[in-house]
Amino acid sequence: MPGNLLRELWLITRLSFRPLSFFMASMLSTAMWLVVVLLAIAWYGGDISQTARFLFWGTAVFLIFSEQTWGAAMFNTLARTGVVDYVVASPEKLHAYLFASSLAYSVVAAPGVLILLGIYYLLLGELPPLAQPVYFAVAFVIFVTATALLVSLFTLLFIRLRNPNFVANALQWAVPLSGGMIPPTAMPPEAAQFFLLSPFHYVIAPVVYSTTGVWLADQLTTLALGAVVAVAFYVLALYAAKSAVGRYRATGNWGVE
Amino acid sequence: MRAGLYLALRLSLRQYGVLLSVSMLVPFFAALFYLGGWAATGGRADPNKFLYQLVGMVLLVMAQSASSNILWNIYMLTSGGQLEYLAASPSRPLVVLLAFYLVDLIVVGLGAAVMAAFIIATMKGPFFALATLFATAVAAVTSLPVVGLTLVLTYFLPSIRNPTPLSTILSVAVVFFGGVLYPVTVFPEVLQRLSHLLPFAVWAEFARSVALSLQAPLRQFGLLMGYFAYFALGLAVWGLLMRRLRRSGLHHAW
Repeated sequence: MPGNLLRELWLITRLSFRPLSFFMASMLSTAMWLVVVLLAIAWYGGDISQTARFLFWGTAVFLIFSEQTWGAAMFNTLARTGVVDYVVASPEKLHAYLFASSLAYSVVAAPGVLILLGIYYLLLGELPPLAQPVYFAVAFVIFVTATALLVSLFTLLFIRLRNPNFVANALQWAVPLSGGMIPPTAMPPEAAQFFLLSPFHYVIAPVVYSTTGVWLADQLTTLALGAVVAVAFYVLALYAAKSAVGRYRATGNWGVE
Repeated sequence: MRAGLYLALRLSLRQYGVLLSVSMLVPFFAALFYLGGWAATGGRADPNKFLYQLVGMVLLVMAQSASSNILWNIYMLTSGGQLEYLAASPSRPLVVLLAFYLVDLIVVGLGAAVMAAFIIATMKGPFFALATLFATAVAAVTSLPVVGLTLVLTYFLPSIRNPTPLSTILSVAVVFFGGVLYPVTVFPEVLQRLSHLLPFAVWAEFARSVALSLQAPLRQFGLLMGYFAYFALGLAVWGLLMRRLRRSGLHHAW
């Protein structure tokens, strides 16, 4: 199983980089758009560099999640052209394949994050803060795993829709924003408390908190809850994939055809 | 020009729903930035900055028409083989492209401007609504340097074969360096200089001064006229491209 996962990861990553000029242009423009958004929001603060410091890692998180979501939206075409039929016919489990493909799109976002770091350095003359590197590493692993599982679920929704672009666009904003992409610790306290109710908060915001060193709730509890949310997403993805395969075997289509 | 306008209008009317929805995105994104600013600053966001970004969003829509949309229109004409027909007809291809741009501005740009003008009128008074519409007309006329820069890039289309990399980079450069959503003074010195080499920032600043301060700064007007060199360059490069296509006979076999 890990070997299969790695093979899928390699195949999807390799495919996504082609053609390289298109890929690099797309990454550069995505990173620049995100810097535009970051500056447009940070400009409201009195000290633009201080606000940008708070917002940077949220922007990086958005870039990774956005890449995963649009990768999932592409499955609509793969279902229509019969590629997903081959996945079901292969010995690979559908949920493992979807998880691997979402992970691969996180890897594909890496050059974009590097470009984002480069532009940030060019603008502010320093690298963004990383207050708690160990917590950051743990939070980042939880974030990538949980969002890859969540996006696996989205994939199974997208392959039932004729045109998933609108839903993908809404989800790529709704999940990071409700998850604390803009750090709730910078918000008025009465608004910040609402984030504690969102399951996405426990998988997204810790990445941002660990870089600023300011947390909304207890650090270890937040990280532990993040791991619980990731496990819940795994169970849901497994169940949804099994149901989708069952439905496909019964009806012969995925819903989009 | 008349033939081009007719063609562009017919195509636009087929998708007017999509085009009008772009107008709705103008206040939506400006409000989203304001909300982001409100959240990131602990609830202390300046409404004047919202108005700055609202006008900026209208300019962004116009800039996308002048950059990305023109590149895609050229691609549409070339991939379908229509460019060859246009080159052989009395309607000149460049005039048809400019007609497409004009219709784009009227349908999308005007829709966005009306939405922004309505909001500005409620916040600053009805006179500013007229000023916003006038500023949009000024921005439309003075956007030709941006069109010129796009025409320069079209020279590379036959070798790249797909406008995606060119259009994505150009459209984000307009916004990034254009002072559309934030003033270019937030940049370090080097990036500010680079920004002033391009025609976007002065263009946006001039239109915004008209809309929100009821002023037309003469110094910026002089600079704006200077940037028209980009339009002249664009026309020259377009002429070279058409000559190259005529000689090779490959108008559409990309």
